[in-house]
Amino acid sequence: MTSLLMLVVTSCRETKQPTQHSTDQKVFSPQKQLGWFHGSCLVIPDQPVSPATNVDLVITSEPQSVLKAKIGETLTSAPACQPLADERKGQNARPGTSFYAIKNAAPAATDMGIAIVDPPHEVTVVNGLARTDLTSDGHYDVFSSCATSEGINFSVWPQKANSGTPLWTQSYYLGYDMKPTCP
Amino acid sequence: MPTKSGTYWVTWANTHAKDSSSVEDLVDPFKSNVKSFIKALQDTGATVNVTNTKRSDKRAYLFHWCWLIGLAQAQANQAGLKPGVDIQWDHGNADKSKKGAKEMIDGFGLAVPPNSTNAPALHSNHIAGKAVDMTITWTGAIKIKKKDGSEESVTFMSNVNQNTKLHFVGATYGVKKLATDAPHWSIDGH
Repeated sequence: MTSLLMLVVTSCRETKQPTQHSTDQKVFSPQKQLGWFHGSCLVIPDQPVSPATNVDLVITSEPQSVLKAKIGETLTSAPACQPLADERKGQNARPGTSFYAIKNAAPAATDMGIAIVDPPHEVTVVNGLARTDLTSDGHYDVFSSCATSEGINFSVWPQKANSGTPLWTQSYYLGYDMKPTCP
Repeated sequence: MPTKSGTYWVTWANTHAKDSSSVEDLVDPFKSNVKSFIKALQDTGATVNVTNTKRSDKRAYLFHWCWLIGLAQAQANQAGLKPGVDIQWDHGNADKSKKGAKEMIDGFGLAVPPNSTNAPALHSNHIAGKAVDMTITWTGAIKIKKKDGSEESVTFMSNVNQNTKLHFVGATYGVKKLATDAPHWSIDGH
């Protein structure tokens, strides 16, 4: 009976075993280690990142996919960095925000998604959805994007997208009007 | 002589069909209302950074149709005409027409499905000159004058979408906040 109960509890929780990456005890900081990208331009909202730092790119396509890349040189303008286009930079280039080229990977020009700087664990794709345990709490975190009236909202959620409070969210201002899709 | 769709039109639009960031390009009475609201904010020491006001209808036309044709959601011969934009969407071959439009999607940096499942709009408050995108910052609490002259104490919030007191003050000037997009204020909140 006890064994059966343990089996039920285990199967109802989306858990993962710690990976070899979790042996270092660094605490993951969503504000410092999460950003977003459009094409080959990576946007880190909170602080500068050293060149050649590892970054995992979660492309919010259907199905989602993951690219392993490195931080490249600083970008200062479009077209190399679309978030810095004339009609966009006023909102996207907020104080403290940094823009980098993506190296060692080649996202398509229309690819967008969420970037994990110095990722603590492997990102895997299961049933079309990327997931990883960013906070090392034993639960998978998942990724989503949706359109607002003038931009894209990128979010990371504990366990299930659009449920509860996101672990992290950032907006990409596109500077044109569209019908929103965000819930 | 029309020019076929493709990267040429990205360069063209970035020269001849740019959006404005000047409040002067808005239409009255919204323009006057925005000026009054901004003055009330600045009088209290707030910093107002206007980034986008009237958007080009020609630019919106190019965005709209390149998105639809490039993503195969419309045929090139379905695109309407736009005075002042002498573009040839139909290259006489569906694949070439799609390729030309796709070059424009990439060049303009448009969001595509699943990030955005709807084409860029042809009509909006921005295009009509009835919306403004701006960032408003200050420290602590300030007293902002409403249109009737009375004051409202408003505390700064990093998420402006949640600052309903600021939204209330703006609304007294006829400048209404869209609560889903941080910089966006308009004549009707859309």
